[in-house]
Amino acid sequence: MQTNRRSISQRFFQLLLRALPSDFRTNYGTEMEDVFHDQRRELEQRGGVMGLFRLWAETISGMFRMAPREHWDIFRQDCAYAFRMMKANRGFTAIAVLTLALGIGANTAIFSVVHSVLLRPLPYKQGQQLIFIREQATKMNVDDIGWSVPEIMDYRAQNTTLSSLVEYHVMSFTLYGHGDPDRVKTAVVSWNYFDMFGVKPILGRAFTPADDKIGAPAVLVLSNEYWRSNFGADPKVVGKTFEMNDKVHTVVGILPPIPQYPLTTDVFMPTSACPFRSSDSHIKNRDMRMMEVFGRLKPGVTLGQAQADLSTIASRLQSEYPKSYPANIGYGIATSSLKDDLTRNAQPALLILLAAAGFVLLIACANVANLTLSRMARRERELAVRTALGAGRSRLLRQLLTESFVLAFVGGLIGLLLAYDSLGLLGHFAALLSPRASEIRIDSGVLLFTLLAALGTSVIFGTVSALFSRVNLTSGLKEGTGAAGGSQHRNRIRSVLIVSQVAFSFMLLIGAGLMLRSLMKMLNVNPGFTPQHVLAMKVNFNWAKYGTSVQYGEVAKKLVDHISGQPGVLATAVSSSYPLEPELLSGGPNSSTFQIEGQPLGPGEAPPLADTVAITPAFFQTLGIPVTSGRDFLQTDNDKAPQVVIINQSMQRRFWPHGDAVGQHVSFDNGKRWWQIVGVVGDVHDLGLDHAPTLQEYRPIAQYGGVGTLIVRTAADPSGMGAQLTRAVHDVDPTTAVSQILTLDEALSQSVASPRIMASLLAVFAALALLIATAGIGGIMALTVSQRVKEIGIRIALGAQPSRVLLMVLRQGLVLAAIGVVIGLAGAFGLTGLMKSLLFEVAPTDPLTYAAVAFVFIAAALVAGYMPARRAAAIDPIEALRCE
Amino acid sequence: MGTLNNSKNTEPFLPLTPAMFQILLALADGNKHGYAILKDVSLRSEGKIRLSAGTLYGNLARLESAGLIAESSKRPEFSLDDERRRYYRLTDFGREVAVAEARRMEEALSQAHAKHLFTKPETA
Repeated sequence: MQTNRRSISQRFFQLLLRALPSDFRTNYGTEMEDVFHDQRRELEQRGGVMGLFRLWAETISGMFRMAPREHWDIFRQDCAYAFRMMKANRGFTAIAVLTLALGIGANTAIFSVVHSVLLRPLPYKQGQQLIFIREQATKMNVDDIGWSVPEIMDYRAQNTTLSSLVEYHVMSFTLYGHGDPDRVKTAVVSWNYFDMFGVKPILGRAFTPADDKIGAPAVLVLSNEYWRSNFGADPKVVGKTFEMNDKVHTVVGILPPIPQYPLTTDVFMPTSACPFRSSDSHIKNRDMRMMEVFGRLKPGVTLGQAQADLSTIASRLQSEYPKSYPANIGYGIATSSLKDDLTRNAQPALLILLAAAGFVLLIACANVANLTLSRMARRERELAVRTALGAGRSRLLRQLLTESFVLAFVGGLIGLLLAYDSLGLLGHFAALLSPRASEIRIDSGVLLFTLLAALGTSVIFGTVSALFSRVNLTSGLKEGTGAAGGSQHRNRIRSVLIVSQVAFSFMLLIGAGLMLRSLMKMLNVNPGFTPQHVLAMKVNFNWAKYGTSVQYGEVAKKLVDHISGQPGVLATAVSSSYPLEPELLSGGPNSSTFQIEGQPLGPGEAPPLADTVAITPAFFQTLGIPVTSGRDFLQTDNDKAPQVVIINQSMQRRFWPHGDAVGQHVSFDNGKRWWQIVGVVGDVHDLGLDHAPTLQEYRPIAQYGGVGTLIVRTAADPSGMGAQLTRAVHDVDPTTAVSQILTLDEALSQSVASPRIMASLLAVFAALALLIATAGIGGIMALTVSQRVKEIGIRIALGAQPSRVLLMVLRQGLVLAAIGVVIGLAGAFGLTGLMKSLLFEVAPTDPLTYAAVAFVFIAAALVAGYMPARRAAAIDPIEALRCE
Repeated sequence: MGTLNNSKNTEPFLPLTPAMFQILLALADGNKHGYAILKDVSLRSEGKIRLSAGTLYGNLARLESAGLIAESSKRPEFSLDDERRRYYRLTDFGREVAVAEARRMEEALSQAHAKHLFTKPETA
């Protein structure tokens, strides 16, 4: 019993000793055990449990007080030693630190984006309870048909799973009273919108129920960005009045900086202030859908429960209002967490970039491990001396790991600076993918990541180099290196490292190659219009002044006439939107369902849907869209003339495959009225070069309304004509806000900004990886040549041709590259499938890309090996043998 | 031998931690092994200063690497010797440091006396 107890407490004490550095344990461990044993025995002889308890408590606390100090002392010594070593080997230090800085920097930068956009909780109160709710028409392939006011009321009143349900829609209004008329993107929201998100204004107040009552004085809350950019963050703006939609609006609050979803807006107003939303035609019409809806789950309610609850309401409404929800559209409700919606677009791209950055870091690790390994060969004597002086193996390993850590830490610090520097570019990129981009910053989470990356990196390359440096610790003391076996072993390790570098670089290069190919294919798409020499600008007429399509038609004609007379203008038109317009890409097109005369829908068949654009005559001429049959609109196609429409070729192909659409009729109001097709025009990629053209129909502004954009084709470069044209617009109506002046070339370029930046980033990573891998191949070949000088000398002395020697050395590099390429090929096959959603008309296994990249690698291996091979071929056998 | 270490400055070691000073004191009258040091300290302080194994050896390691104590090659006579144990001795430099520390404390004590720290001020 006694011995048993002793052995348990002894074992526990030994466990405590593990907290101490191994050298310390070796030196004092046994004595400490003895002392503890003596203390314990004495107390046991005296009897009394309290004394024993106290002994244990003192022993444990003493051990934990002292162990960190011992470790810290050793760490400090090792760091000092590491810095001395780094100073003594400046070349090695510079290359290693730079490589690690690039690797860690790339990871820190990408991680800061991933962390801010994907990982951090939403900056809203209990953001995980927030959901986005869509009404869908699944049979028409429309995943968001928008909400009407009666629907919002019904769902708000009947649901049992949401603590609140708020609405949101965006309009462009013109704000007067602050310099030039200003086109402001306005979010029209329920009064409790900010309460639901848990957002409190930083100045003034949010909306109240009274603000939401029809007829209430109009109020505005400004977004933080708009307040800063347009009012210089002036706090006195709260309480000021502005004119909008012919009404006085008072600013009552300023929002904190928050990500805005689904669109970024300048100002917020309650529903009562929006002239459309507060009109009877909206409030009473179940089919007038233009709102979005957000909800907050009641505590404890899951997304699935809310989905079931809302779906029940959907089926109830369906049976109550069969006209509004015909069975053939596939009406239903879809819910998703707000965080998923905010980050969905960004996820694949960011995760791929993170993986790519991770690969770069692994390649950097392999490279530094290789460098360290080479240096180890030269340090073997030093390590052997230290071993002889009593340093244990784990002590040496610890020293080497600390050296690695110091290298990685310095690399990490520089990497952090690099990352900080690149945040602007990355933020710009992320903004194309998620509204959360505004939250990107380097915070404690990112710093911790960098520290862990540095630590992990040092463990990886430090362990590899330290473990394989041990091979000849004892023989290192002997002069003349009998370490041939060791160096062979090391060379094998080096080769493995090189092969893995090649494999990872290969995968990266494939990723970059696929993105580049995809981008090239995208840029080669014929957009369907001629973007050169065309300028577009948003013109926002005062809603209050131009209420009807007749008035719109008149002002549009006046504008076109006046602008056409401007010097340098070749053609001009007004339209509701233009192809690849940024707002069209973010907000989606305006679309209408239609039916065709003489082609009734089959039972249960969903009505077709076409994107609608309102235009003035000469729109097609201005944009260079060909009219393939029939005619363009004429000035006479006005409200007094029969209703006419022009369709695109896709629509003709689908419904009139024989090409006889002109003269046929379509209806956009369930057959109440019929529009005659007067022309067919070419397809336009208006929603993005990578989006197939949709069914499109154009209607005259004079019959349909919908002024929004002025489009001008000019004789010379139009980019400098913005001011002149703005003045011309103000000549026609000085109360018109002009904004977003953009050439169509710029719009086209912006529309591919996301794949372009993605391709560029991957290309930078891949180029970096290729450079490191190539340098690695060159390095190992130079080393083996220098190790084999004697052998090569003998070969040459025995009559080997220099060209054969050259080939022999080159072959060695090629074999490494080829093995790496084969492994990389397998990896790429497995991994590039994840990129599928980012690629346009390029298969993840595109043979051309794979062949090109493999060729690049083989070429790189040849280039890298050429210098060492030349040196080998030029070895003078007499010199070589004399050296030995 | 004693003069050899005179060039070394005792200043950086002062003030010593109580545990270090007690260990040096324990070795002042002869070589001792770890447990004996521990017992000596405990006895002299009447149990007020109690060193755990960790604290003891942490301090021994520091004192040893600073050259204040050293492992002793002299061992007690055979019957008293516990051959597993290592004996420590006070080096000449260690003695100087301990003396300097004692002087420092003495100085502090005499200043306390001079300021009548120990006599309660009379209340007016």
